[in-house]
Amino acid sequence: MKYILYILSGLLLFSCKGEDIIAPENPESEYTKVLTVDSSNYKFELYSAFGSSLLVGYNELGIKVFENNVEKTDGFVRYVPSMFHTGGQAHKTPYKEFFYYNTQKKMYTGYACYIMLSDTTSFWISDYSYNDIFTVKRKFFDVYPNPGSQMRFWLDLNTNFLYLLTLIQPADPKTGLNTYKCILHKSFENSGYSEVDSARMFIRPWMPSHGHGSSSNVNPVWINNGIYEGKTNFTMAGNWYVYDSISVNNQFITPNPPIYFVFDVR
Amino acid sequence: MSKKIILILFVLIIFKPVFTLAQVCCGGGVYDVAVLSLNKKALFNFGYKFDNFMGVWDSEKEWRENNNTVYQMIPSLSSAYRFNKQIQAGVLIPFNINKIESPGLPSNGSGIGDIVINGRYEFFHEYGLYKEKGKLKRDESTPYLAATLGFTFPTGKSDETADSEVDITGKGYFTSNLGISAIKTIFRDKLQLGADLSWQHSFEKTYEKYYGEELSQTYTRQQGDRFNYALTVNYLVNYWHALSFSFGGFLMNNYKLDDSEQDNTNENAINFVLSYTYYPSEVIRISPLIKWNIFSSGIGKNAPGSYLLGLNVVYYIENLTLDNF
Repeated sequence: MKYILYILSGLLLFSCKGEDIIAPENPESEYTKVLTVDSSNYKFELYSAFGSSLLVGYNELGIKVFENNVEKTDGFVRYVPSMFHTGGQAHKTPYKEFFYYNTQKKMYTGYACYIMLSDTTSFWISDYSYNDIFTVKRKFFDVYPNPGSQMRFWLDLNTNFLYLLTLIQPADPKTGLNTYKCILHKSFENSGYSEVDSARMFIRPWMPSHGHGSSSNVNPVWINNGIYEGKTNFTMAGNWYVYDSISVNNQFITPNPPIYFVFDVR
Repeated sequence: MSKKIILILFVLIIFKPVFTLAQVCCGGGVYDVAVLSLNKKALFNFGYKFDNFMGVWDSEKEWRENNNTVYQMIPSLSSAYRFNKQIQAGVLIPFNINKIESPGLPSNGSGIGDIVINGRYEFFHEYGLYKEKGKLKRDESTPYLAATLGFTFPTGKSDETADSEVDITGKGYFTSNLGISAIKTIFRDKLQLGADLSWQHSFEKTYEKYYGEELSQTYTRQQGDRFNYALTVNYLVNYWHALSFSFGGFLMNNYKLDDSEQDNTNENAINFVLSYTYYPSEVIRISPLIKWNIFSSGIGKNAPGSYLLGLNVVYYIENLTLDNF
C-alpha cells in the first residue's frame, strides 16, 4: 500500500511539473550514461544530466533497469550511495529515496548530492534495487570535483539537526536576473538525510568588493522534493555573495550572519 | 585675453577626469562645476553627458565586459559667480537618466541627482601686475594656484529608497572635496600645463531600508577616502579654437561597514579626456569632449569603466570691475 502511495505521489508530482514545462523533443538525450552495474540477469545503467561523470554537489540522475535485457518501466528504483573511509567510518549523502519511471525521459529519475570527492582513502559505493525485488549491492563509483557546485552544512543548536543546503542553479551566473535553485536536507546524528519541504527562504545578494546589494530579487519558494526556487539579481560582473536566511516553523535555523553561496558573475 | 580663455578652458576640463562613478552606474556626485576666469563675473552652463558603461574591473584587477547595455545620460545646469579677485563659487544641478537593459528588470529611470556646491580661493593668478621701483610690471613666473572646496548633497535617490537600480540617481550621503589647482603657462597664448589634486571624504550613511524594504537590522556604510588627480595640457589654436588633453584618475581606500574596514575593497582607475572648445563670441563657449578608460586588465580595480561623450554650452557675464586685474 505504501508503495502505491509513493507511486501515486510521484506520478502527481511529475504530472504537475509537465504542465508548465515544454518537453524537449528527446529528453532522454539530455542524459549521459555514467556506468553500468549488473548481477546475474539484472542490469542497471546510471545516467547523469550533467555529463559523463558524477560530480560533487547536486546530480540529476536517471537509471535504466533491465532483466534479461528487457527494460523495466514500472514501479521504482532505489539508489543508495554511501561513502566509506579506510579508517572504517561510513556516512550517507542526500539522495532521492525513490526513483520513479519518467515516460518522457524513458528512465527512472531522481538525484543524489555527493558531499565528498573520491580519493585514495575514501570510496563511494552504492546499492541499486528494483521494486525491492532484486538488488545489486556495493558497487564502487567515483565522484569528481565540480567547480560550479556549492554545499553548506550547519548545525541548528535548537534542534540538533544538521542541515545541508546544496546549490542547483546558477552554475554559470550572468549579470541580470538568474534563477536561484537549491535543495535543503536535514540529518539527525548522521543517520541519513531527509528533504525539508516546509522551509521559508529569504535571500540577499551582496557584492562585497563594492558594498552594495541589488533590487528585484525573488525569495525562493518550495517547488517539490526539498527544492526551492527564486530569482537573484546580479547587477554587475564580479564576485557576489547570496545570503540565504532559512526558517522552519517560524524559527530561523540558519546562523547569524546567514550562510551564503559565492558566485563569480561574468 | 587669450590666457583667460585658456584658464577657463583648463579649469572646466580638469574636473572632468575625476568623474568616475563609484557604484554600479547610477550614482551622482559630480565635481565638474564651472569655474570663472578673472574677467568673468558669472556664468550659466548647460551640460550634457552620455556615459556608456562597458564593464568593470574586479577586485583582482581583471577587466570584465558587460554583456548588457548600461548607460547614463546627465543633462545638467550649473552656474558660478565671482565675488572678488580671490573668491568664487558655483553650483551644479544634474538630472540623471539611467538605462540598464536586462531581461525581467526595469530598464529606465530618472530623477534629480546629487547637487554639488563648489568654491575656490585663488592665491595667485598668472601674469598679475605689480609695482617695482614705481614701475608697473607683469609677473611672468608665478603660476595660477587655488584651493578648492566642494560639497555634494544627497538630493538624488539612493539604493536605500530606490525601487531598482535604474532609479538610483544619487549616492545617499554627503561628500566633501578639498583640493588644489595649479596652472603654468609654458608658451604664452599657446601652451599650458595644469595639475589638479583633491581629497574627497564621504560621510557615513545609515541604512534603515534597502530598495524600499525595511531592514530588520540597520547598518552603516562609509565610502573610503578618495584621492583624485589630473594632469592637463591645453593648446590654444587661435582666438576661436582650443584643444585640451588630460590624464587623470583616482585612488580610493576600502569602504567601511558598521565601522569595520572591508579588505580588498579599495578602488582605482585612470582615464583620459580629449576636449575641443569653440568660442563664437567673447561670452559664449561650446565644448564637446570625450572621456575614456583603457578597457583591459590591470588598469583599474573595483571600478566601472566607460566612455563618456559630453557637451558644455556656457554663457558668461563679463567682469568689468577693474580692481580685479
